[in-house]
Amino acid sequence: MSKRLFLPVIMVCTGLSLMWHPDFARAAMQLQIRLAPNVILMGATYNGTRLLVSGAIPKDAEAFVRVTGMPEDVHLKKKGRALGILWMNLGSVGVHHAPSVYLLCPSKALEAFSKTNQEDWHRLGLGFEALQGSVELTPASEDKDTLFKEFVRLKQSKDLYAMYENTISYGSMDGAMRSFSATVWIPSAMPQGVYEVEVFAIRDGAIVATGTQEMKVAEVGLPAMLSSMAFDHGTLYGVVAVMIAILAGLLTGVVFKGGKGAH
Amino acid sequence: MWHLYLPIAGNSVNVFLIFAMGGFVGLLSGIFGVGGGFLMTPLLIMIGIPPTVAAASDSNQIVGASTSGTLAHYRLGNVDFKMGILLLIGGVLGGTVGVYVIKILRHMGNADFLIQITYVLMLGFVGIYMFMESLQGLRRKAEVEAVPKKESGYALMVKRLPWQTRFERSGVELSILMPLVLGIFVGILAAIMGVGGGFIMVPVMVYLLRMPMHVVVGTSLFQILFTCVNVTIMQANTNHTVDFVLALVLLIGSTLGAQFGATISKKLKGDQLKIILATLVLVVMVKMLLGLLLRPHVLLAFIGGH
Repeated sequence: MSKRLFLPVIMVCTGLSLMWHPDFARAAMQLQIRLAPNVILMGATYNGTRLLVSGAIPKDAEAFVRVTGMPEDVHLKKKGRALGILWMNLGSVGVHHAPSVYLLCPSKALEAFSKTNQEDWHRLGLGFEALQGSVELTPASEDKDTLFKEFVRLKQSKDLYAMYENTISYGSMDGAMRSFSATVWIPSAMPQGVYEVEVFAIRDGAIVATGTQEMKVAEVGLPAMLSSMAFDHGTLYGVVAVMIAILAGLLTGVVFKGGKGAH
Repeated sequence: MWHLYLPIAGNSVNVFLIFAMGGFVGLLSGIFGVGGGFLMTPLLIMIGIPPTVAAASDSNQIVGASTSGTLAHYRLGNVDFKMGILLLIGGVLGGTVGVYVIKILRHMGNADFLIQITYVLMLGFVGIYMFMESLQGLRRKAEVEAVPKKESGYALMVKRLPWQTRFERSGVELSILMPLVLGIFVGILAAIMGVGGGFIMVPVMVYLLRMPMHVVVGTSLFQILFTCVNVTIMQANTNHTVDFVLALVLLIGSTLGAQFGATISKKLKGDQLKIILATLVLVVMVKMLLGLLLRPHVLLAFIGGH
């Protein structure tokens, strides 16, 4: 290949590959966002917590915050009708590549937009329905539309998929930007792991800027100790659990007898 | 405040709610000699515990409650150890057979269907029979005490079996084969249905082994204790589904409840105990039936549990 041709080809290739990158194609601008806390610690009395996401977006755009878990494969029981009247488990179904957690916080204006301009909203690809494309079901013959909806409802019942309303507030303007903050409820059922927190700035039904931060959820203290024992030394854990239960039973019995003797 | 994070269940719960649930189920356990898994597991699932963790942690809890209950009933002279051990041996054998039976059923397909229908029918049959019988018993007491019973065919057959032996506490004379075989039978059913078996065991001891109701309660608890020790260790070993924090809070409640239960049990007559238990069995039956007839809220569910 001649030198004259080489440079333009490289430039075109680089340009194309950059455009292929979703962030480049969708968002012209990178946003800086802050998380408080960055790491969520699950101690003995942990009961879920609030995550504060803050930053600045272009002042004429609306903010949308999303917390996404790692894709996972789950196997579920499917209920259906037997003999025409009885609801029971009729086989199992696998749901693959669905994120373990999917928490959405639209601003008030975006929430209204999602209801009035449903088509434009779906095109943004930020709602629950946007997941349906990447999710696979086994067996593949299953009715995907119905089952995916049921899957989302199951996740919603555990607060692992949620759309929170009225959680974004805007602050002061600074030049072309305005500050925002979002309070996301992190449910106690959210498992340990690494999560992606994203902010999307949306103007006229298009994403104009995005920002990403990683968030960690980790067990500490007693829960961490018990988990590691339960998984690494299962039999010992079981034997100790049984022994403590028996001791507690005996102790209660002895205390009660002592109480009766005093009468 | 007042919440505890459960590392195995992966969720947090209110301490007082769990304590109260333990207390209530422990009370039932002490009164009737049932483990209470039929009640506890669905309650735990309702408050957000995964089904497999709910069932395994409940069996850990029952270990505490049944120790407490057995001790209380032992002091009242209500535990027939000889009978209990024979039933237990049968139960372990039956449980092993049951695990294979369920594998074969699953292989044939339609296992869940067969199991649920059998469960509902059996609860219905046992509940109604017990209810009618104890109702008659209560009425009979009011009229004439101790009408000489005619020996039924069943009683004659039982008498012909070899290896007759006397069970002092229960005040019955039976072949050793009886508790062994019935233990196997209950063990198979319990394994197939995934329940502790107290519900089936109590009526079996009352009607087929002809034991007095109070001794049935104490002996059943003694037996449940061992079954649940086995289940807890097996679950901890193979499935890692025992949440000890959950079990501990539950069992603080249930060991207390079991003591009060044993005291209440002592104050009630055999027929009164039977009729209340029969009502409880029928309520569970109706609940299961409704579960089969009403459209579930969500058509998918996590695997495990009862």
